[in-house]
Amino acid sequence: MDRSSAPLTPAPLSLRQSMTVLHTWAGVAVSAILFAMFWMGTLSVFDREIDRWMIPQTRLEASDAPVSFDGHALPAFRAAAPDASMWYWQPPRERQPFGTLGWNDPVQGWQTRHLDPATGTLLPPPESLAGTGFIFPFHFSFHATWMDIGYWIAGFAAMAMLVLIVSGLIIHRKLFAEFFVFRPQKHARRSTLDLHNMTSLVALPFHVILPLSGLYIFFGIYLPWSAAVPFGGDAEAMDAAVYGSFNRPALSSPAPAQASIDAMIADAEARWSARHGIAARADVVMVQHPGDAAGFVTVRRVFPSRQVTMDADVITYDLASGAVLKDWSAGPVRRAHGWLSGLHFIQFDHWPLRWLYFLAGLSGCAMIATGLLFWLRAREGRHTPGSARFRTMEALTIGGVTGIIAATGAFLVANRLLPEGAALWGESRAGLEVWAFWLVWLATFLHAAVRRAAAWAEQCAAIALLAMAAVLLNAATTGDHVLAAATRGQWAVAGMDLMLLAAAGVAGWAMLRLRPARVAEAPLPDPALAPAE
Amino acid sequence: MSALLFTCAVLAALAGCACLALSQERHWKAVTGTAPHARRPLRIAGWALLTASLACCILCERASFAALLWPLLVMLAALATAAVLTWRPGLLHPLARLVAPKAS
Repeated sequence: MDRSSAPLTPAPLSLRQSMTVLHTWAGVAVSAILFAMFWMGTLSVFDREIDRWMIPQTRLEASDAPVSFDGHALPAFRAAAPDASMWYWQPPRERQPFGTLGWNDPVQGWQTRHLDPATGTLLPPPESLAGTGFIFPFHFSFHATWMDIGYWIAGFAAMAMLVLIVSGLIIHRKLFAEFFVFRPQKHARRSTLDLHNMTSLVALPFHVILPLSGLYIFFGIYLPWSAAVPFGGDAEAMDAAVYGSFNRPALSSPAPAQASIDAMIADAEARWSARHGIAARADVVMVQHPGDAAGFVTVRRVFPSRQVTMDADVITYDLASGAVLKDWSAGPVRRAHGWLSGLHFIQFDHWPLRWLYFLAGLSGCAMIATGLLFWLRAREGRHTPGSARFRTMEALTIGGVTGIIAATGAFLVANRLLPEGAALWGESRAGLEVWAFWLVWLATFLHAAVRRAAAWAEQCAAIALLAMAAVLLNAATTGDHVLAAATRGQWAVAGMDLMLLAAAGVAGWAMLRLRPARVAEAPLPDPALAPAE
Repeated sequence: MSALLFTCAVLAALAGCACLALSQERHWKAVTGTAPHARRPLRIAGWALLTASLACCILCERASFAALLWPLLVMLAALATAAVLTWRPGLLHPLARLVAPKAS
């Protein structure tokens, strides 16, 4: 793609030229947001492993001992949450060696605790939002809750991503001829564009289906009419038909008896196994209005371990009698939705696929970063690099790419540095970790605005140092250095440490590649270095 | 998941991408230093191997998983092929000699 040959006259643009303009400006407008989504989404592939690393008390031995709701969870709920209007339970599974209890406390709001299946006791409160509480929601909401603005920004960015893919395919001149071509020995602009094209094309199906399924998951937010029209605006009727939900108000009179919830789980699993011809397991149990005469129990199969399609079976039981109130399994269209959602959430157990998702996500990050870098490099030779527009894009790019990675490093380091029960200005320990993230991210934008091109290498150095500090602090505060964690079978922790060391290595290499001397290098290829073609 | 079928799927994807790359003049020259040779058979072999990789994915997984696994395996193979062509093109020389014994 050679922009310098684009005519400056207002003659009608060819398709390729108009797509070049669209690709450039859509990219400039949303790339920093898209990079944040890709980066956090890529990390969310290993959300449970990040949880193990950041919440050391949950680094439990995997156990095959059956965990009973009536025997383990019920006494814990009755002791900790007798007044809650809902109890939420997840039994242990491969990547979560503990039971999870959640309830909405009338005073303190939503509470989450973990249950050690070996002892049947509750672990102390987590004191960190970690991967599933901070990194995963950041991916689709940026934690901007006001009027769902974060969801709308994410939806807009996902639409823009699809526009960028289509326009990028149209403007790429040598789609097949340069599919495998990477020329790092050529000048910086050429090799940046090579890398941008390659990381976009090799993972093209991934780059299309992930934004698309992401939009699909939140169809109720982005297209509220889609639900309002067929159900006459009745959200509850829609939930009942589309998600199999059931609801009835509490009677405010105590239940005469309580049926065995373990028996309900066993009944649900037997029904699903017979219906689908596989060994089905329930992974979510919700008790509504516990202790009330109108109480009911919802047993669900949200994330089957060996199936992509998610959340396609729900059975609701009467709490007092154990009778089935509603037995719902998804129809074909809803199952297609479940497959698209499931491929986006990847909570199924498939390690090769999990690593491939991680790699594809990183290739997406590289695609966006090299796209931004190409925009800067294409302009620093031609335009006045001191213009306000160029300087703004430069700061946004550096803070948006290396800045958010450094901020993630600061989040991990803060997690290992803050003592148990830490609190400052009314913020809990979990809140302080989040503050560390936001403050460091803000600082990287300011740093980039002041230091300009030199900020690339300096922020890469910061990433390398933060990643190594996180590994050392994990060893110092928990004793689980890589070897110790691996011998204990704590592969989530050992893997996190190894990934942090790899990140430090890559950041160190990038620091050398992005030195100002290289960035400012002459745009013409050096004939001595270019191979004969 | 059958480990053998999975390994076959990975190897077929790698060989398929390598064949498709060698079917291009630029890469054939970089690997062998000779004029292009057997471009059409290489292209057919490349697509056939990628199809074989998809077949292995479908045989060792349910179709719903194979639909996710195969495109990502091809991504891995394409990245590996590009890396080999960039830094160690000589590694593909045996494959080129298999197609054209005189190419070395």
